[in-house]
Amino acid sequence: MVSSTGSTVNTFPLSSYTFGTKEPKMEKDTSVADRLARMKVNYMKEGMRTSVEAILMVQEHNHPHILLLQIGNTFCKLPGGRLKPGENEIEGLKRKLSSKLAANSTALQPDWQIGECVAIWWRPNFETMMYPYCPPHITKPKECKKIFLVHLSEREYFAVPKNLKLLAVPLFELYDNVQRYGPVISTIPQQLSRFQFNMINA
Amino acid sequence: MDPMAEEQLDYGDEEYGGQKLQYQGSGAISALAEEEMMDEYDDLYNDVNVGDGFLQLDCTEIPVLGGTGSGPQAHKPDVSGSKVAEQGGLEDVAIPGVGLEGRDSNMGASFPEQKKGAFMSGKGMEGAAGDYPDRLSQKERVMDVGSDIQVGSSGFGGSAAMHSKVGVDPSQIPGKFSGGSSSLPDSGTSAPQMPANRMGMNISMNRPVVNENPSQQPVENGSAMLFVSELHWWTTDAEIESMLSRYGRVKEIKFFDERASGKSKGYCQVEFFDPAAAAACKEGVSGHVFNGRACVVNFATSQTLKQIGAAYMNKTQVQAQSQPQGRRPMNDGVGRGGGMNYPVGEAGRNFGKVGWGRGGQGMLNRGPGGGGPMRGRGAIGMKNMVGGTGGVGSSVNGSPYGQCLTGPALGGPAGGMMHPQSMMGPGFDPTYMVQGGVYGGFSGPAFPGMIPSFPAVNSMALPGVAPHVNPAFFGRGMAANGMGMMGTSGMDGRHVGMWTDTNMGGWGRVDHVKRTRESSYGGDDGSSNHGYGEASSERGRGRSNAASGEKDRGSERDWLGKSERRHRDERDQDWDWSDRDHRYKEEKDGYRDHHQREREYYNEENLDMGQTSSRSRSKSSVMQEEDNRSRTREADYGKRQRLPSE
Repeated sequence: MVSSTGSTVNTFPLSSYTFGTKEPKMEKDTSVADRLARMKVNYMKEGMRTSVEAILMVQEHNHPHILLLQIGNTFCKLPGGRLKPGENEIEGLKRKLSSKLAANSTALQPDWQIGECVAIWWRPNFETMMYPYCPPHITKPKECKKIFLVHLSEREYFAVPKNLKLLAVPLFELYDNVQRYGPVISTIPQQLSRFQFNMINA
Repeated sequence: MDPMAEEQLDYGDEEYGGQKLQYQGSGAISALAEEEMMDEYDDLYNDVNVGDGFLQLDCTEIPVLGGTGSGPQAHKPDVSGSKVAEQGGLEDVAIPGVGLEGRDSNMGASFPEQKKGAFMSGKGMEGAAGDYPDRLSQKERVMDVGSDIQVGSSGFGGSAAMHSKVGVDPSQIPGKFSGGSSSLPDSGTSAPQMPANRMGMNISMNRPVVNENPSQQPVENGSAMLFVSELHWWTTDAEIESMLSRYGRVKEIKFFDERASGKSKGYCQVEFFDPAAAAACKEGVSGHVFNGRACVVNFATSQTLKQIGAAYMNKTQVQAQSQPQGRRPMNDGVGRGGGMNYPVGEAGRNFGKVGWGRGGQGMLNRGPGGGGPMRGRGAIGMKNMVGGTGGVGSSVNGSPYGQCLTGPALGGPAGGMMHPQSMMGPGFDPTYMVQGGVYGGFSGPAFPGMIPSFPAVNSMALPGVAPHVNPAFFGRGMAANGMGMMGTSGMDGRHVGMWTDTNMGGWGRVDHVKRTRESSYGGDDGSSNHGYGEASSERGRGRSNAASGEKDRGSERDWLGKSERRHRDERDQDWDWSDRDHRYKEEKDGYRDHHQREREYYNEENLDMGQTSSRSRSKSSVMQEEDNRSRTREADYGKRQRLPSE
């Protein structure tokens, strides 16, 4: 087997997982402007924001799919969020995943297997633009977003907040689709292309 | 101050006619005229509400610098001079620059005046941009200035050069002009030439300006905002901050970068808490060398702020389209011209300053003759230019393309925003008109913002030039524009066609070299890919770049149709090149044969098959068609050959 560097990912069909619901988890900001303003405030207090996001993979029809949380009808985002100052990335990501996708009861907390970091995106200004590099003239980026691949086990129970929808989006749907998914998500297929997906059928 | 203002006004009025005469007369009076122009410049600015602080600065500085005596004196002559300038049309742009020169020499208080002049020029541009729809003046003026100042260069170039000399310029109009500066000879001599050509700014504009100047003594009163421009894209915010914080507390440093790539555009907006600190900083930092490049610091005026801000916002939408072009050529060039699509005002500004500057250089090659004719044409062209980002584009392309290519380069990136008519603008060589009247017809098709006249001009007037153009540069930088250019040049005839073909061929070649045919999506390349890459993606019909189903191609196709015969020979040559490349890349024998056959009929096929829809046909079917065509062609050729002998 090749996976010496962990470059094999086991993916299970969607049916192997159970999805429930839980109370709504509202966005902290009502608009982009609010979000940026809050970002500014946090920057003054804590310095550069580090956020982590997770790529959870399933397979359908022998093609890898990514689990995305859909807000409203159009906006899709990866599960994850901002780290507390000084928090470890892996721990922070587990915390965020549980907050977003795990059932409230402690008994059903998934054991998140955080894999490697597949991408890092930088936000140079208090704007919505992010780039996969820090632009050369920026010495103080405002946010650093790290995207991790998460290995799901065969059986999991997810509780999705009522105001969100959990979608399994095939890679081909994301590829070259910046308009719908933005630069971060639409380039995930490229970042995952080096992985070997083990499509396990139920 | 008030009396001075009045004097200036009166002086201006009286002098207007007199000045004009003087102006046209000889260089002997130029010094005076320059000074006068300076004042007028201020007046203009006041009217346009560009730099209230600026005006104040001028007012305060002049008297201070020159002393009480010299101050008023300086004003007076400037007033009259500026009036003259207005009449001339160019004056606004030209005069400020010239005025600056004169001022410095006369007054000895170079810095403030320079700033003023530069500032004014910037403002003048801005103001003009605003007025542009109403009158050609600004553009024309810019053109004239350019031509006058830089042998045949566009007005903007000239003014830009002037500005840069002063060292203030770019800050208002973010770094676009870097190229223009070098070419401008600081001479008042050019000024007299300029007024003659056009009617420009309103005299009325000047007047109010003059009045206000004296009253606005505290230049920096409200303006704690500066623009620091002429920076490298790798000059960091930390470097700027460390430099600026020595002058006071910095409230905010905001860099302007390209939306699509995040790369710095080379200028930033700095806000101090204290206006006095801002003023001190401006004086202290202006010209400071960051990473080997001297920066330019200007006060931010409400107008520039608006324009730059708007441009910045608009960038997000437009950036995607223009960015690939901008990114491809040189970094520095791109950085400057990166903000390709600006709002009208800014675009006009940039265009005038940067693009023309480059154009001016290009014109230089062609000789002083270009400058003369340009003036006449410039009026037309300038009008259109305002709307477009031509200037920006030109700035971008100017450097890599070198002198001869400034024309096309100018046209290129701006393409999107330029009117078709703009093509006739600066750099339009009257000789071309004579030759082919192509340009006349050119205004019809709406090319993507290129100034067709430029490339065509080069090829026609200087046949030798076209081949020298580096196709790689052109193709990449002008991928989208290349189409436009091709369209225009196609009309011109063989030379133009050659040039465009070369352009395309080179581009195609480059693309093919860079990526395999099948995969030539070129998504990352953006527009250039669209233009050509996709074509190649059509199963290796790489040469289809000309005919790929891009919207831009529409015009090209038309052009192809018209000039099919003419160009086919040329194209064959190009296709040969690309064929060879393809052969190197392609392993498929069948494909190769296909190409050879394709080559001959490619033009027609492109035309016939039209857009991508034809491409989507299966390869086999296409081949069959081509085979048929080739057979018929061969038959035709055979027949043709036989006939004469019979």
